[in-house]
Amino acid sequence: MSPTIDSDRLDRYIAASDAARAAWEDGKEALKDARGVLAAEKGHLARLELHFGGRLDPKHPNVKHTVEKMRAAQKAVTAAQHRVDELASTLRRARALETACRDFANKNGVRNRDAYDRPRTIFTGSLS
Amino acid sequence: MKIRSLASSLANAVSAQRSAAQEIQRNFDEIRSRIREIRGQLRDAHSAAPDTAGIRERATIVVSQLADEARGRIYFQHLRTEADEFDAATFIKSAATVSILHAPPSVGGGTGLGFTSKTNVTPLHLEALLRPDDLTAMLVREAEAGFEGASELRLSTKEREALIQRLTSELDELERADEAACREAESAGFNVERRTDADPRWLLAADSDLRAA
Repeated sequence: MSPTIDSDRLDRYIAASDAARAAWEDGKEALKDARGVLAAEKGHLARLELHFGGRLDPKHPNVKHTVEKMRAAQKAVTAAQHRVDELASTLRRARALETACRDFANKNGVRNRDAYDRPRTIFTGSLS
Repeated sequence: MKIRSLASSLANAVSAQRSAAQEIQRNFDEIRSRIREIRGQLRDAHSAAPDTAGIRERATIVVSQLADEARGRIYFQHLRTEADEFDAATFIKSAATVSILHAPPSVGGGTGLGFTSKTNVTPLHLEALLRPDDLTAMLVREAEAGFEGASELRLSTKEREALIQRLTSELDELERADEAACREAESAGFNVERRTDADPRWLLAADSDLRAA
């Protein structure tokens, strides 16, 4: 027996894939922001070192706060990168399911409700 | 006292849910591991070597195809008069003096072996045309020797078809069970990941069909 295709289910896989992509893009933005903060903190530390004429003791009161902020920013970058990797993996899975379902449905003459009525950006970029 | 009882009840419920989630995961793992197993068996069945009868059948087909190709590409002539017909025995006997012709020989032009233009004729073509039984026997012998001692699965055509049908049917049932379990678990509030290689037939199936199957 060949089961009936439920086009709502196809819409759900497409929506899940769209959502996964949006989440991944947000994650990439968050990573970019975190890297920006880290770069700023590093720049600040470099300016301090330039000002005081050499490498500074991280425990020095004038430096301690900046070093702590830099370490926190480094941790944030690592966490954001980890999150992006997870989101990329989710996106890959969602896209694989979407593609398989869409191809199968199209071969069987079923179209999802909105995918052909609205412009869709075809994603061709890397997920790294 | 009441708060303590509520907290205890909540802890029990959470524990029960954790056990249920673990049980669900175990069941999914079992179904999915069986799916992988069946897929492997299907691959093996598709690539299984034929048995002796199957080898003979295939060899006969190959030889017959070669002979057909040869008929289209080669012309033999052992013509003394227009009425002469090709006679393999005479042709072979006179093979030592046969000339290779690049165009159909003229009537009465003697014995000739010709090739139609721009086509290749291999010794196998000639063998298939002139000694099909020998070539078939040789192919069977060589194939048998190749399979000797190999632990490869060997099936007759019927066995292969029956096995593929049985495995395909079992795989279909497992795919259906996997998707049905995913939907049940989701409706009970559990988060389930679908396999990326799941069968889209069942991924997109209407609930009623999924249950009815």
